[in-house]
Order: sequence, then C-alpha cells, then structure tokens
Amino acid sequence: MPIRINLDVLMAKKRIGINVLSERIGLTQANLSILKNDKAKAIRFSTLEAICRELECQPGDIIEYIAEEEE
Amino acid sequence: MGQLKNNHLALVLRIIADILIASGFLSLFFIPSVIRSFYDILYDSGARTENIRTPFEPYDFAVAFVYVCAVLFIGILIAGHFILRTLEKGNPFDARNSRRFTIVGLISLLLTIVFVAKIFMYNTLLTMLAAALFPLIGLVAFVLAEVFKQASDLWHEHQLTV
Repeated sequence: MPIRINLDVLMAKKRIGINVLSERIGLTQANLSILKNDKAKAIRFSTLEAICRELECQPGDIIEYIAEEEE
Repeated sequence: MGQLKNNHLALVLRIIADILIASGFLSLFFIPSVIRSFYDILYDSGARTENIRTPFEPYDFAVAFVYVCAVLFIGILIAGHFILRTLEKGNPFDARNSRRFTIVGLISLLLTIVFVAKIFMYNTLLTMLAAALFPLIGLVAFVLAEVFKQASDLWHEHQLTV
C-alpha cells in the first residue's frame, strides 16, 4: 500500500507502549494495532489529532506516502 | 468483528424457524399417509367421480411433488436459521449471509421450475399462483443477497477505520 504508518517508530522514540497510548487516545488496543500494522483503511481526524497530541508530532510524521516505483 | 446490540426478536424468529424445520423433517415421514387419508376423504365424499371434472393428480405424483417441495422449503428454512443466528448475535453483516440469500433465491427458482412443470402435467389455480409467486421471492432474495454483500463490505471497511 502506498501509505505507510510510522506509528511504531514514533512510539519507540517516545518510549510509550501500545496499551498506554491506546488508553490516552481513547482507542482499543486492537484498533491501535490495526493502525500500527498498516491494516487500517481510514483514520478519523479525531484519532489523528489525539495521536499527534500524545506523541507531540505532526500528521506527516505518522503518515508517509511511498510512491509505487520506490516500493 | 464488532457487534451490534443483541436482538431478541431475532431469537424469537430463530426459535420459530427451528420449530418449523423440526416439524418439516418430522412431516417427511407422514406425507404418504396424510395424502392417502386426504384422497380417501375426497373419494368417500364423491368429489372424485367420472361425472366431476376435477384436476386431480395421481397419488404417486402427489407424494413425489410434496416431497420435492417439502425438501426445498426445509432448505429455505435452514438458510433462514443461519441468517437469524447472525442477527441474534448482533452480527448481521456477516459475509456468509449474502451467500445464504443467494441459496434462498436459487431454491425459489427451483420451486418455480417444479411448479411450472406441474402446470403442464396437472394444472390448478394454486399451482399457477405459486409458479408466479416463487420467481418474485427468488428475485427479492437475490436483491437481498447483493444488499447484504455491499453492506458487509461497508461494515468491514468501517471496522478498519480507526
């Protein structure tokens, strides 16, 4: 998929676990895993806002577009 | 998969369907004797005489026809049982429900063929009505199959929206 989610990288930088982050942003661990493992089809702005707030980052840090030639 | 609220109406309907399925299977044993009794009553009442033109199929044909219809109706009820079970669990957008509605549609088409065949062999008004009704039931079932398929796709996409 051309869109890559770099959530695991950011979580490692902030040293925050999936269970703590899911609790803080109001998502279940299952849903956060779906996002982390690139299985998500869509993301709500409210979720994106909550993640950026907790990880102190920009949306572009989380979501990256990889052109298909690069893949 | 996420679930909707449990539906008690679906539970009641599923129980009714189960009772009908059990009755259907049980009735398979009694079809020949019931038809025989029915014919005996009609013979005794004089409804079947040479002077009265009653479209009346032979006993063997009647038994075979009722058996075929009974088996097909039980098939529809069994598909309905599984559909109602997913509704009962609050999981209506199970992808298998689309296939089950398709099965109901195909069985309805088979019933149409059976009744159309009977029109050419031993026609009655009820036979013609049934032959006209079952294609409509089949069409509705195929439409529902497509609706449930698209609903299932949308539901899965919704489940993967975080």
